[in-house]
Amino acid sequence: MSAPVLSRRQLLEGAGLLVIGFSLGGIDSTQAATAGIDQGARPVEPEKLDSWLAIDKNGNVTLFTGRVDLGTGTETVFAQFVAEELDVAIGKVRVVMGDTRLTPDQGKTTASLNVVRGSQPVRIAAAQARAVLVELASERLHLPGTELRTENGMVMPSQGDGISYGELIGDKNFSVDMEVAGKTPEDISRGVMLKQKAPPKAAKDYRVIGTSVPRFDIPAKVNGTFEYVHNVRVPGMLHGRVVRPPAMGAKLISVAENSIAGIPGARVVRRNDFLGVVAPREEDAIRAARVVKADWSAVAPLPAMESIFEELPSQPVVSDQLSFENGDLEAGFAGGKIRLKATYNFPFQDHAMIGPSCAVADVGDTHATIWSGSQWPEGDRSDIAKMLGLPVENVQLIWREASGSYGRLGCDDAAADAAIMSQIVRQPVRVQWMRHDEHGWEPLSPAMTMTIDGAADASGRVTAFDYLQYSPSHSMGEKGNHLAWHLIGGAPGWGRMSGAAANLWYDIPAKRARNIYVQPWLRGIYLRSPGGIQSIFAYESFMDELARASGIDPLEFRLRNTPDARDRDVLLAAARMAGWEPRSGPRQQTAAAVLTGRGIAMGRYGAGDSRSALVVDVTIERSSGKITLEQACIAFDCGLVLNPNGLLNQVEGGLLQGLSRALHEQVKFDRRKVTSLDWMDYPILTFAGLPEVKTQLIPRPELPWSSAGEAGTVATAAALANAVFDAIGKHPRRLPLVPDYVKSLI
Amino acid sequence: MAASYTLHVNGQDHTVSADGETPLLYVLRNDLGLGGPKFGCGLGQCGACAVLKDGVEIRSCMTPVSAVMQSEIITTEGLGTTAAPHPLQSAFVAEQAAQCGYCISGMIIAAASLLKRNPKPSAAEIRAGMDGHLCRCGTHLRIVRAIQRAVDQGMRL
Repeated sequence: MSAPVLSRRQLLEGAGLLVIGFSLGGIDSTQAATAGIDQGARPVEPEKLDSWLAIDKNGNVTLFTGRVDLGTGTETVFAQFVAEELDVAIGKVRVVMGDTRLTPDQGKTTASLNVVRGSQPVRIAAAQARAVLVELASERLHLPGTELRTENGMVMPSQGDGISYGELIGDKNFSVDMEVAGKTPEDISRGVMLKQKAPPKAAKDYRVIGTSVPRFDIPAKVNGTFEYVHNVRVPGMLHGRVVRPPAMGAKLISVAENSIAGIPGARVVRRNDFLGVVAPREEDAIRAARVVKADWSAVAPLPAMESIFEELPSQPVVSDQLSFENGDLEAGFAGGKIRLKATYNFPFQDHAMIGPSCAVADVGDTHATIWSGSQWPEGDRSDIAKMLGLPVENVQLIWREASGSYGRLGCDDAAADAAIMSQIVRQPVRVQWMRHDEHGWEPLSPAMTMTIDGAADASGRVTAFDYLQYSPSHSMGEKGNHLAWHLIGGAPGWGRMSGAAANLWYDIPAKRARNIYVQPWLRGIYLRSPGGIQSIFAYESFMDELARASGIDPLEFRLRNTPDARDRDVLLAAARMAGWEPRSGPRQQTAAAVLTGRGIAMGRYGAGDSRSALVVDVTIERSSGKITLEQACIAFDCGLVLNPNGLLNQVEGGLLQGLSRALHEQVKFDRRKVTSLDWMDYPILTFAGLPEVKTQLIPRPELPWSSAGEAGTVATAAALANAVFDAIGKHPRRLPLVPDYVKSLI
Repeated sequence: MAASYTLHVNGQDHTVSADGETPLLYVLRNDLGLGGPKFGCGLGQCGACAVLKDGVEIRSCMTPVSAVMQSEIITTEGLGTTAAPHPLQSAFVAEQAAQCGYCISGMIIAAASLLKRNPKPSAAEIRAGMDGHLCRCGTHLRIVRAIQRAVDQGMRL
């Protein structure tokens, strides 16, 4: 191997770094991490090892990744992979994420695939970097590589002094080519994979992976200095606010610019149907957006909220697909003794970020820089470039963490809003949506109606399971679908279907799931386990209804239908934590003022078939139908555990968020637009509503790690509905389980 | 009309020029460069913007700047730093009590306010006391544990 050449950093030392942004309270930490690295010359091609990793003279390792951290701890887990494969202390690793000028394109951060797919090139690159370091040391020490080991940032011979990584390669290039596996647009959007050169460690040798390394981001988050996208500031920046139509689809007829004349520095910003305001001070922009007068056209009314589940199957069909189809349904039904058919309905829901969508854009005649909380920096970048009419290579998108979103949404919309406003006013513009913008215009988790026709035999084996769902695609807001782009015209629209029924794990001789995607009337985008929490609400509710009709305990009924050891382990672990008592029929508590109920459900979700089971205990006030969550016991299995504490944080979060969705959440709308515009109209679970929670991780060190972010949420709605079923004897067929609905069932 | 206001924030005096009706939040963030308090709803419903006014939590998104001139305002930055954290901040780190963390500044302010009026709250009292603060990530259990940890360690405010 040839000697390392001078790095870009050395070549450009002293050339000065263009200061392009700063943060509230000081210099942006990512800028600090990349200080001295020339942004124009850094390679980002995935085929170059130097695109992924850099080591400085002090032995600090910087990982460059196109993946982003949505508040789930990805940054820390990726650093664990680097520390593990390179044998450096975790404190020596820094991570730069999602900057299109600095990081390789790794597609979207979605579908709980960060550590399954997104980490793959990180591991392969780090293992290769270690091999390069050993080779360099081998030349220096005149020893074969087989006699060297790596330890704590050093290459060590069996006797005598070793050489530090900083000394071996500090500030120089690796200059090693890697090979990419799969280069189709789908491969890239899901996340690039590298072909292995030097072998990464075997799981049995892990020392950093599998430990609860504390998250890198939490200290700054608790002292108020963390750089959220909301805190990015650019010199000469104006504050912008959007002004949305009074009805979805309305056209802007005219704007009375003089209606904001009294507000210091305020200006109307308009392009076709896109309307916004800017002002030097944020409070003035807010006031201008509130008082600006505009005329909008009338539009055809939306379907009535009360009848959405009847409307869904009658909407025009966009696509008709199967999630799975096995066996002969006719024979399955013929072999059953009990046959049931039930329809379950899941409402439109908000992602409901606590911090509304926000972005900063600095758009010039030829170039643009965008700071966004996007989950897909490269996708957002290419869309915004097209929308602005700029070459994509002239647009830099810099990801900064936003508020936890659990699905791509308004973060991208706000980036387009800011970009258009900046292009028009020729100054940098920061846009933050108001609460009513967020609740009113974020792309929603689409409503779904699901029907199951199924049968079970006398021994409690399910013989046929035929599932049909109607829903708009959960990917409408994904690409080419920024709200602002629609308003100015020319948005290419959407074409990808997602939100399909989850795989059904039960061993059933004849089963089918059919997904009919219908024309949307409200913009949609995936929300934590799209199609998963919905279909599993239906699957597991139906299993309870079949168990009841069969006179078999719901836990026993499930065990009879899944021989899979991992399924049985999560079911039994959850049942054990809760002290499950078998039952074959409804509780006899007809006279009680407070009804008690207990439900069980499980689900598999994500790459690698991660799974959870939970038992939920509730009490229900008979007079009002109000549910109190008493206890939730969840068992979770996602294969090998990378960071136990971080995983527990995800499992607890997925559990509580799922229970919140099932208990409280429903977007309301009238014939013109969404009307649930704040936290009173769209309540979520609060501290006062918390159940007692018990969690148990079931580690599988012999298995690969699999998706962790969504599997803890998929069975929540079903477990809660099954607890209500147990309490009142009738199964809820729609969500949320608000008091009026529950009372109507009692 | 814009006027000059002197604010006492995190132990220092700051003079700003703003309309007296301007919510304190925007002055803290945009004039004083404090990123701890966040905009969440502008309606006093979520608590992301919470700061201490003379030791008691207020919602800075709803509080006019002209109403706090005689008071001592503390934001999360004023409670402690990474090098010298406040006991609550240490407890939040020890419990890893954050995910996206957007709500966390407000949570810590609310906890400080709660512990000032009730230095030894039970877990139920913590839940009741924190109820006006929203978290979307489902970090509630850890937040309760972090406050409990600070209490158990004999935190003195």
